[in-house]
Amino acid sequence: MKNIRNFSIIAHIDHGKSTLADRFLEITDTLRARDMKEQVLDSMDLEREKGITIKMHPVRMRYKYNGEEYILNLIDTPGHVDFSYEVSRSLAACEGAILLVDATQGVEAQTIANLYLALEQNLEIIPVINKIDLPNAQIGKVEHQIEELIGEKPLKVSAKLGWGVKELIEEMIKRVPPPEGDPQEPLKALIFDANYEDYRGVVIYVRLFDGTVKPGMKIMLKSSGLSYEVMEVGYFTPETEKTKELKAGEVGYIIAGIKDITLARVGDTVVDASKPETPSLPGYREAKPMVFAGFYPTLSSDYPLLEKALYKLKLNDAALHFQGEYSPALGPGFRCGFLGMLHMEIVKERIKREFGVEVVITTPNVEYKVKTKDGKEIVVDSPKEFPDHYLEAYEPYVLAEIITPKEFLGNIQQLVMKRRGIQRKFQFLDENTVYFEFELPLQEIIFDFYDRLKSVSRGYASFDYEFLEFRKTDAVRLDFIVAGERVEALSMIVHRSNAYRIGRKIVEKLKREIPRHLFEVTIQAAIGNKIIAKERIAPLRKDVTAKCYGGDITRKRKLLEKQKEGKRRMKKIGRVELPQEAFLNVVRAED
Amino acid sequence: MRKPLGLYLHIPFCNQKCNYCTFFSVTPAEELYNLYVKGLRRELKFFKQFGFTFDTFFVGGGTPTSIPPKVFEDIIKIIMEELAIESLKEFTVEVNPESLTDDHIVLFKDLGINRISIGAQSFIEEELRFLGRSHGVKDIHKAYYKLREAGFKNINLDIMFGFKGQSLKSLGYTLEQVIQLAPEHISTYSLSYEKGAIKDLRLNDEQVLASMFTLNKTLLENSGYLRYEISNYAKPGFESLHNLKYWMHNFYIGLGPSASGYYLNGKDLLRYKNTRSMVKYAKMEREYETLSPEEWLLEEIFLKTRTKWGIEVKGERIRKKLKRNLENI
Repeated sequence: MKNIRNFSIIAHIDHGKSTLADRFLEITDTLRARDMKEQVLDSMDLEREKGITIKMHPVRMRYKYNGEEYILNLIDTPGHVDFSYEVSRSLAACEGAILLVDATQGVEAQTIANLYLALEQNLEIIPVINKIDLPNAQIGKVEHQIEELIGEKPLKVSAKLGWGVKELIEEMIKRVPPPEGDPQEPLKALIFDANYEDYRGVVIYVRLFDGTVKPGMKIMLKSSGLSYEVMEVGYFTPETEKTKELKAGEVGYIIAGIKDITLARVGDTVVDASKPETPSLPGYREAKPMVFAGFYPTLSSDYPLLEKALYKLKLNDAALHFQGEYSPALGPGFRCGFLGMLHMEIVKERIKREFGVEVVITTPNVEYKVKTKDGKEIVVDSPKEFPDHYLEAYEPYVLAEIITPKEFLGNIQQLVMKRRGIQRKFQFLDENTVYFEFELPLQEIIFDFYDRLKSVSRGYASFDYEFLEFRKTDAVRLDFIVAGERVEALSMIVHRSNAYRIGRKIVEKLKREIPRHLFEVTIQAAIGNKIIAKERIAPLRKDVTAKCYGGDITRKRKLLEKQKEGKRRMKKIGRVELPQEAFLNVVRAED
Repeated sequence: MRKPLGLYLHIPFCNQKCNYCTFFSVTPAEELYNLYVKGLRRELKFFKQFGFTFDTFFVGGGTPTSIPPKVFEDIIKIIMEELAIESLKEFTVEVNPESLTDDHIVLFKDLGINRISIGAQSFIEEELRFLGRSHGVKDIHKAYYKLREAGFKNINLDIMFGFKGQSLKSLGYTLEQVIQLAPEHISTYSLSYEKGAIKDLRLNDEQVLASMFTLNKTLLENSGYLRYEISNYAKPGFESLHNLKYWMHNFYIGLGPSASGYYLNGKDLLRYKNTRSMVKYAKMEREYETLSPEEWLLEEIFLKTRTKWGIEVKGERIRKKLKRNLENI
């Protein structure tokens, strides 16, 4: 056990995590050169293509140092704020972490968020500056930032060219402590990830803290109390490779005939079924969706395919929630819950790529806790369930961290204030870079906060957040009424102070998008019975410029006669169908 | 002798449906040609009995160039055998830039076609794509020059305005491109929407639409085109004789599915419209309607006032009647 090193790499998107992992695999001969493709451990095409790593595959490597062989287990942390809980569980499985910072970009908010998570887990941190080969590398500046952060000089590497990578591995072996634990003690293993395979069922990824696990043994998952017989255990090479047993300190997988991935929860503890009283490892939390939106197939006939897609994705994604719903404007669809906006984007993209279904997404919202007039407490994640009247409502707040060059400070503060943010902490990382913390309602950032932030900082600011708590709020359901009928799919929950602004904006957008009719169409935004914004679309006049050829004069005449008739009944309100395209253009890019 | 009529032939085939189009069309296929010819023969037999003569012939669609030249030739020859179309003053065929081949052009010459109408619609690639057109700007130029080379001296370009994404600037650009090509005739139609179109592409801003309408007139009249109908411009002497038959309330016969006609049957003013089904067309199913004097008058007003000539008013009684009707519209 003293020769095992469990570690992860903390890095911002694009800072070179996958490339560094590739060098590790080469240097340790884990993969022969001919098996190498770029960014081996990025498992999804989507990841490789977007150049972002959502989560790398874990891998076990061997390395000879000072005459001894070491086992190096690299456990990845997903590189996005949506998955901070998963990050914390991955880090909990390690004793050390490499903090990788791009020499051309410097420290970013997300890196800091994950660094703090690692420090909370008491991990040994090895700071590293990457991309030192690039002409625009600002090694001195970034070195200074890192020293400010953790009071230590970073190593310098170029993962692309392999500079300093061997030294980094050896430094890690020297500094990261070996795991502790006792193979003779009752089994205690942390689930840090899980994956569903068609033939073998759920493969759970574990780090053993105590005890031993082998095929034939009965294990129990602490959160559910369900027991299973172990069918196979093994290591990641990075493919799964069978072995006789896994022992305390080791990282590997267990296959135990689990059929439903939601039962193999990240953060849960695996124990010996014959010793069910074994305590759980700390820090377990259920993966709870934070962001909710309606998913509707662009073509109604794709509904069964969309359903199939969601079920399939759910097999491998315990955090994805969904249930069927119906919208008069959009037809049958699903109300879905996600960890965050990126999670939602990924699901949408995978539905499109892997199942060929295009979806329309309604305005996303967070979950509200509402005390109703009759004293009941309800949880609302869909605008249509939000009551007109209530006693109290609570919405989730987050702690957001932003790092920016100081010249954009004013812009960003303004943006954050507009989003009901409260500044908490403020600190210079170096003379040009500012770090600050805000408390913000999650609802205010799930829409386009990130885009706005990038645009007011010309792309320089970085941003991260974590859930704080539910706080009292003055939320209202904003409805949109077109020609006297409420368009349910457009309803949204907003803070009362934003209702007028958003209502006005959407009413104006609708005015542009809804085709004119022979009768006047009114568009209203309303809170309960109160109309807060209104527009009218003037009735169509006879379009004398329309072509009159091909000889179908009868139709033209009848149209004319009908319009004449229509003018007489001007007051009558006709039905207006909201075209799907109009709907899309309205929900797209709020603000 | 009775005045000659206009003859219209609807070729109901298109390789691709444009996003805004509601004209009847189906995808070209051998079996459908046979149905089509079957219906056509029945119609021709029916109209032969009236002994009409024709001085204009307009072949539209659909996309007349989407069917093989040989099929096109057969169809026209069948019509020539049955109807009196030997002394045509104007013989037009509509073409789509991308499907017009050299064989088509040779054939058009052979058949005596003397006017070509090109569905150009716009000279901006993105706009063409947005409209669902299957051709690019290059195709328009290519088709146009080929037709000129082959000696066609009367060419129309169809242009469209008033769709989403189009601006006054982009319309202006398209018109400038048209003017440079110098066709004899230009139709600029504002996009309308009818049920059955793939998408409603209409621009929703009436102010911009009005300005576009004016822009057409300004740019085209500055370049020597005269507006003789709301949406049609021509160099003097190149007004479309066939389309004027519709607008001047004259008689015409339409052949092909979804085509309409207007003729005098004894004392009755008859309008008819053919079915939009290929199968039913083969059985010559159509709807008839006899115009009442009021209906006739309404048409007289809304058709003729589209043109620069307007309505000629003779006598007090007619004047009064017209006035009453105008107030009613």
